[in-house]
Amino acid sequence: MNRPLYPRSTGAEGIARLMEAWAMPRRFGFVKEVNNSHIGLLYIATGFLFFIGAGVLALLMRIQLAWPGMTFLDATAYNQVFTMHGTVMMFLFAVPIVEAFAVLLLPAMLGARDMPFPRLSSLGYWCYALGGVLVFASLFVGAAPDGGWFMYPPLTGRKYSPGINTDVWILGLGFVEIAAVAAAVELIVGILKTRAPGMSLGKMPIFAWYMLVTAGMIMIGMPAVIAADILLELERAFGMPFYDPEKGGDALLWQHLFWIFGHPEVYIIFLPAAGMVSTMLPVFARTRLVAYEWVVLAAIAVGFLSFGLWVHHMFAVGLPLLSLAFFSAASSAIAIPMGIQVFAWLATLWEGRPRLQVPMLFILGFLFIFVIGGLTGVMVAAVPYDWQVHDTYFVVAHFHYVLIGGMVFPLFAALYYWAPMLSGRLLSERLGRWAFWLMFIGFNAAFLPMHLTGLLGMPRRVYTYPADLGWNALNLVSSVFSFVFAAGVLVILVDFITHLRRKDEAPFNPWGAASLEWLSGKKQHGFQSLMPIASRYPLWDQPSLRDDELAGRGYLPDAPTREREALITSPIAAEPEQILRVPGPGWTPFLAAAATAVAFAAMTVKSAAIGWAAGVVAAFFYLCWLWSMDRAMPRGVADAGRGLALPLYANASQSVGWWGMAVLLIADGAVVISFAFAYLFLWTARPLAWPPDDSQAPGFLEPAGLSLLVLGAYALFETAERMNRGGRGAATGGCLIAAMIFSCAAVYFGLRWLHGLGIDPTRHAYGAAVWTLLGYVAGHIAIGAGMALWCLARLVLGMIDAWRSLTLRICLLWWRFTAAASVLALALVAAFPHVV
Amino acid sequence: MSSDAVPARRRDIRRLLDLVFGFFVWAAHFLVVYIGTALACVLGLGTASAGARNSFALFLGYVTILAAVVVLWHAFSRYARPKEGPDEDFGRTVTMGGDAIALVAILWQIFSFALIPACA
Repeated sequence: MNRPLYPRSTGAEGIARLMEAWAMPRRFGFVKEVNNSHIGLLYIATGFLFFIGAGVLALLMRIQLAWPGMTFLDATAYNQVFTMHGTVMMFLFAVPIVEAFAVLLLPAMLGARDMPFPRLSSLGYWCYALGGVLVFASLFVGAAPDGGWFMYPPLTGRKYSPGINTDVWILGLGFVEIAAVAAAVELIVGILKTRAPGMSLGKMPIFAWYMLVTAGMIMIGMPAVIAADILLELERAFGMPFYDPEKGGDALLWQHLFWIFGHPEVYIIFLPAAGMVSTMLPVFARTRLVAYEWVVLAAIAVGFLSFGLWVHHMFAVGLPLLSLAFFSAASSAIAIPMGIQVFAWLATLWEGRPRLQVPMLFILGFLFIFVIGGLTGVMVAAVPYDWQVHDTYFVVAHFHYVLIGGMVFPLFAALYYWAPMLSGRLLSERLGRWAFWLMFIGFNAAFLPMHLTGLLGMPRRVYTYPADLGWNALNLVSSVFSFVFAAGVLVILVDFITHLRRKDEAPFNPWGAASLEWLSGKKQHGFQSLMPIASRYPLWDQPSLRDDELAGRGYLPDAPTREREALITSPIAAEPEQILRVPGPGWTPFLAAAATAVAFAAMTVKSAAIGWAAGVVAAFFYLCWLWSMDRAMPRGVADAGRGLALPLYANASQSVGWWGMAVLLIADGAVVISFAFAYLFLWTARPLAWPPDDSQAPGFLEPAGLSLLVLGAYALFETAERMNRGGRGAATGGCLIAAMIFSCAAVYFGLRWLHGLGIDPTRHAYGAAVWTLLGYVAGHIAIGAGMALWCLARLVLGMIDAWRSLTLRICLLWWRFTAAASVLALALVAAFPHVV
Repeated sequence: MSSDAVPARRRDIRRLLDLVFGFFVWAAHFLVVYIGTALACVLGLGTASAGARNSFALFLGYVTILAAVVVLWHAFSRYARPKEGPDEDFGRTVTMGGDAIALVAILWQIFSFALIPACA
C-alpha cells in the first residue's frame, strides 16, 4: 500500500477537525448550508406548512358542502379550492415530505455523514419551496389552477381555460417535479453507494429498501407527467394540438401519461410511510420485523406492479373491455404484496410485547384505516363496480382512507417517534393521545359516511347540491367531523411548538431502537466515526458500537483532508472504495433555484424578457456549479482509519457522479419513451392515414444519414475518452472538436430535413408529436456538443488528463444514451408511416 | 483502478437486476398483451372473423405460457445455484419470491382473455 496522504490525527485534535469541517456557516447559514440535517429539517417544516394550508382549504370545502345551497364559496372559488387542495396535498406535501424524512434520516440510518450530492439536495429543496410558494400564492390573486389536481384537457386547454391558472399549475409543478427527481437521484445513489462498511443489501434498514423502491418509482413515473406537462404547455403556448381532437389530438393521451405517473404516485406516497411503520413497529413490539426478506420483496413487487394499474383510473373512458380486464387483473394482483406487508406487521405484533405509546397508537390507526381503504380499493378494481361509483364520493372516501390512513397517520407516528432527533426533546404523551383520538374519530366519522354519500349518487367536485336527494345529513356529519380531525392536527401543532420550549432533553435512544440514526443524534457531522456494521439491528446486536463510535474507532474519525468527507462503498456488499470529499456550504444551489424560480414565474405571467434574463442568470449559476465539480485531487491514498487507506478520486463506475448520471438517464429515457408513446398513441386515433396532415412521408435516406452523423459524433467521443486514457491529449482534443462538428451538423441537417418534409407542428397533432420527439433528441445532441466543448476547455486548462477524467466519462454516458435515443427516434419517425 | 472497476460494476448491476428479473418479465408480458390488444383493435380485429379472434386469443395464451416458463426457469436456476456470499439467503428469497409473485400476476391475466373477447 502507498504511504497515505493526510495522516490521521487522534483525540481532541481529530474531533476539533471534524467539527470544524462540518460546522454550519456563521453568516447566512440558513440558505448556504447544504448538509442533510439542515436541508431535511427545512424540507419537513415546509412540507407540514403546505399540509396545514391544504387542510384549511379542505375545511373551506366542508363548510360549503355542510348543507345544500350554501353560498360560502361560489363555483369559481370552489373549483380553485378543490384543485389546490388536491394539488398541494399530492405534489407539495405527500411526495416532498416523504423525501424530506428520507433526506433527514437516511444518511444516519445508513451510517453515513451526508448524502453524496448535498448541493443537489439543497437545490431540490429550494426549487420545491419556491415553486410551491408560487403555486400556493396564486390562490390569493385569483389565479389558482381550477381544473382539478389531474388537470384533464380539453378543460385545461387554451379554449376553456384562457387565463394563466393552468400555466401556474404546469410551470409551478414542473419546477416541483424536477425537485422530486433530483431528490430521487440523491436517494438512489446515497442508498447504493454511501452505506456503512459491512451493511450489505441484506442488512440494510428496511426504510432504506422502501426508499430505494420509491426513488426508483419516481425516476420512472415522474417523467411521464413531466412529459404530459410539456405537451400541454406546448399546446397552450404555441398551439401544438396534442389534445385537440379537431386537429388529430386526443385528450386521452393526457390521461394515459398522467395516470402512468398518478397511480404509482399513490404507492410513492404509501411505500415510504410503510417503511417508517416497518422501522417503528418492531421497536414498540420489542422484537425483530417478522419476514424482513418478504417485506423487502413486497415493497419491490408493489413498485413494479403499480405501473400496471394506471388504466384503473380510466375504466369509464370507453377502452376495449379486454384492455380494462388486464388492468383489473393487475389491480387485484397487487393485493398480494400489500397483504404480505400487513401480515408481516401483524405477525411482528404477535411475536412481540407491544408498548402502546403514541407512535404505536398512530401505527394501529394506520393499520385499521389503511386496510379498509385497501379493501374498497379491491372493490373499485372490479370494472363493473367502478362504473357504478366512478366520480362519486365513494371514490373520495376510498382514496382518503388510503392516503390519510396509509400516509398521514404513519407520518404523525414518525413525527412523535423521531422528534427527539429533530429537537432533542420528546413530544408530550398526553397531548399525543388526545391528538390521536381526535384524528382517528374525526377521520372515520368524516369519511366513512362518504362511502354512503357516493353510493347514493353524489358526484365529486360539485360545489353544492339539491336538498331532496338524501345527502344532507351525511354531508353535515362529514363536515362536522372534518373539524374534529383538524382539531387533532391543531393539538399536534401546539404540542410541537410547546415542546421546543421544554428544558428536559430526551435520553439517548429514548425508544430503545435498533437503527443507527439514534447513534448520530443531532450532531451536524452525524457520527464521530463511521462504524462497520454486522447486523440489521446494529444497536441491539453490537453492544460496543456506541463506545467505539465515540472513541473514534471507526472510519474517518477526524476529517483527514480537513473537508467534509463521505465513505463510498460498493453497492451490494458495502465494501469501502473511496473517500469522497463532499461539497460544503455555498450560495450556488440557492441562487440557481431562485433564478430558475424567477424565470418560471415570469414565463407564467407571460413576461418573456424577464423570463429569458432570469434563465440566463440561472444557466450561469448552473455552469459555475458544474465547473466546480471534478476537482483536482492528490493521486495517493488517504488514511480512512482502522488500518485502511483509500483513494480520494474515482474515475468511472466507482464514483458517485457516474452513478448519478446513470440514474438520471433512466428518468430521461422515460421522457423519451413518453414522447414516443404520444406519437404512437396519436396514430391510433387516425390509423388509416399516416401522415394525416398532407405532409410528405419521411424517407429513409435522410434519417439514415442523420443517424450516421449522430453515431459518428458518439464514436468520436468514445475515441476521445480512449485517447485520453492513453495520455494523448492532442488526439483527445481533435476527437472532441470533430464530435462537436458532427453534432452541430446532425442538428442543422435534421432541422432542414423536417422543414423540407412540410411538417407543421401547429397544423396537426402528427406534426406536433414528430417535432417534439425529434426536438427533444436534437436538444440532447446539442447538449452533447456543448459537453464536447466543455471537455475541450477543461482539457486545454489541464483539468482533464489520463488520470483525472471523470468529467469525460460522465459526458460519455450522456453520449451513449443520446446516440441510442436519437437513432431509435429517427427510426420510429421514418419507418412507422411505411409499416402502417 | 478504473480498469478493475468495470467488471465489478457489471457484476453488481447484474446482481441488482437479477433480484427483480421476474418483475421485468411480468412488465414485458403486460406490455405485450396490452399493446398487442390495442393494436389489434385499432387494425380492425373487432370486425374480423371469429377465427381471427380465436387466433388472437391463442397468441395471448402462447405469450403468457412463454412468460411463465421464463420466470419458472429463472426461479429454478437460482434455486440450483450454489450459495456464494453471506447475503445469499436474502438474495435467493427475494429473487425467487419475486419470481413467484410475478408468475401469479402473469397467470392471473389468463382470466382476462379466457373470459372476455378481444375488442368487445
